[in-house]
Amino acid sequence: MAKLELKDVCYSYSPGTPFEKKALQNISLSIEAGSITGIIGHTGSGKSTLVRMFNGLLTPDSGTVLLDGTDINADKKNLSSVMCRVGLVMQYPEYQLFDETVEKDISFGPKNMKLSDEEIVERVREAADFTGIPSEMLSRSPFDLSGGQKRRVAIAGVLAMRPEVIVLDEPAAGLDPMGRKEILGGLVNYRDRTGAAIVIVSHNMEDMANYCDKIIVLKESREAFAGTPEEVFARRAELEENGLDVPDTIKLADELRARGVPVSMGICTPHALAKELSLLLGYSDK
Amino acid sequence: MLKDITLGQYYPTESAVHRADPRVKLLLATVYIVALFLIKNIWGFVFAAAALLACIRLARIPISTILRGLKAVLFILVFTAVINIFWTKGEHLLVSWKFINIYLEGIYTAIFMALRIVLLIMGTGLFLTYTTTPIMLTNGLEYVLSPLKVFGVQVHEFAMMMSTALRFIPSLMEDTDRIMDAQKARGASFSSGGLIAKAKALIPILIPLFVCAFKRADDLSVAMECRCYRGGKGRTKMTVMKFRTADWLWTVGAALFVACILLLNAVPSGFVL
Repeated sequence: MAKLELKDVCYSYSPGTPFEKKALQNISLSIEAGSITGIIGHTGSGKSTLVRMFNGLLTPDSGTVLLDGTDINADKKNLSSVMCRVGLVMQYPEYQLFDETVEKDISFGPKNMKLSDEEIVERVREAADFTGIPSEMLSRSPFDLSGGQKRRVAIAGVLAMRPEVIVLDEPAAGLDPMGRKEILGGLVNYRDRTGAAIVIVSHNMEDMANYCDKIIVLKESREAFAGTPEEVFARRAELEENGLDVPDTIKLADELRARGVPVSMGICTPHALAKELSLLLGYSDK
Repeated sequence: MLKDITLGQYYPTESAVHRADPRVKLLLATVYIVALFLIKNIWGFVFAAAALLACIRLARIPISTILRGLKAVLFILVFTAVINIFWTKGEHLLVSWKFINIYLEGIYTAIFMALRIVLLIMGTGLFLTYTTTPIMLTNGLEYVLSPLKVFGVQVHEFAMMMSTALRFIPSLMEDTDRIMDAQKARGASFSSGGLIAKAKALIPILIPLFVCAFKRADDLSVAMECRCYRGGKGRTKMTVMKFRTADWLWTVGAALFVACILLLNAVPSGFVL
């Protein structure tokens, strides 16, 4: 059974007014535990709405959202526990920071879960570990930190709830390459240690290619297609038609193929390309 | 919830009311408010409501949209009505129980007050918010208040502040929604617990919201300076306001409206305010 499933989910904003917008139409997808799934789509394709379906912030107009097989919207009172099991980190989450110290802000989630004081301290430390927050930062005010540091604190605030699924909307937006690697690395680490499922919405195709097991492509509020990064990025023309980009590796591979080098379709990470090229050039396994 | 606060929400359509000069609409709104307070009997209210409904139809705005704007003042409406029913004294005692005395005058006053508030909100909403963009409203205000420049009043800056505030209400509401979502996603609850718990629950929203608002203000001022904004001196406008025939008709209409209200005040009727 999939960890999180959406069946035929539909949602519109401001229905029946001149501002009506159909955000999602008949979306069905499933997220397996321990997987890393990427969601890509042009602006306005429904990504932000979709992301809010996962943890019950929005209730579908029709269709169901199932967590471990149970409809999360069936019982309204259940929703707060769902929110603790499916963590959601929005875009530029540093804007949600409010408390006096980093430690207090990270403990906001566990406090809402009514955990004991010792448990909260433990969770805060653990979350700080995953996101690379040094212990001396815990007593500082979150407003004194740099953008990248604030980002870590915000993500730690969600990880402290030990969610079974963690959904992130552009987690690495606005960060330098080092920061990106650390944040995404921390998430993979979290998945490895807890078996959680990770869902990332992003425009950064390199990250999608490097980290995801499966990618779902959204187009105009519907699912266009899905598959492994190799399968998805092999469909370069379709992606570019929809205003989406492909990883640089794909572009390089296409150029090589155009010049007669028989690189297989769908190679989307530098590592895989290097391996394929060394084989083609007759070098032994590198 | 936040979608129901339709303040600062322009309803985009083409209509005679939309096309009217904003200065005329300011005049209409002011005249309407004054007239509402001049009304002394039920006929005046009936006439004012009918005139308003005619204008709403003319503006091609669904009544449901205008009514939605009343949700925000529902509490004041009920509060005023209750105060009047229970505490207004008069001559015709209807109900007397222990220390509670309800007079017929109280009921009438409650109804009239409620009508006045409802018509006031709907009228000003119609002319100033739903059919006038914040920019046009600012232009109108600036023109109307410009005589005050003689007294050293910073008319332009005041108008700019007003239009900026109006323009940012929806943006700040979006920010509030976003922040609420983020905190809800961390298990925060805004609807449970007693009054104190609910007040405390607002801190994780208000602090980030203030930070957001200041950041927006900062970004906006830098953007304005980058485009050579230096205050109102010598500043020209892209859309210049011109009174057209229709606007003169509206003005005449406003005068007739007040005249009718005053006439209707003389019509004999049951209760007089």
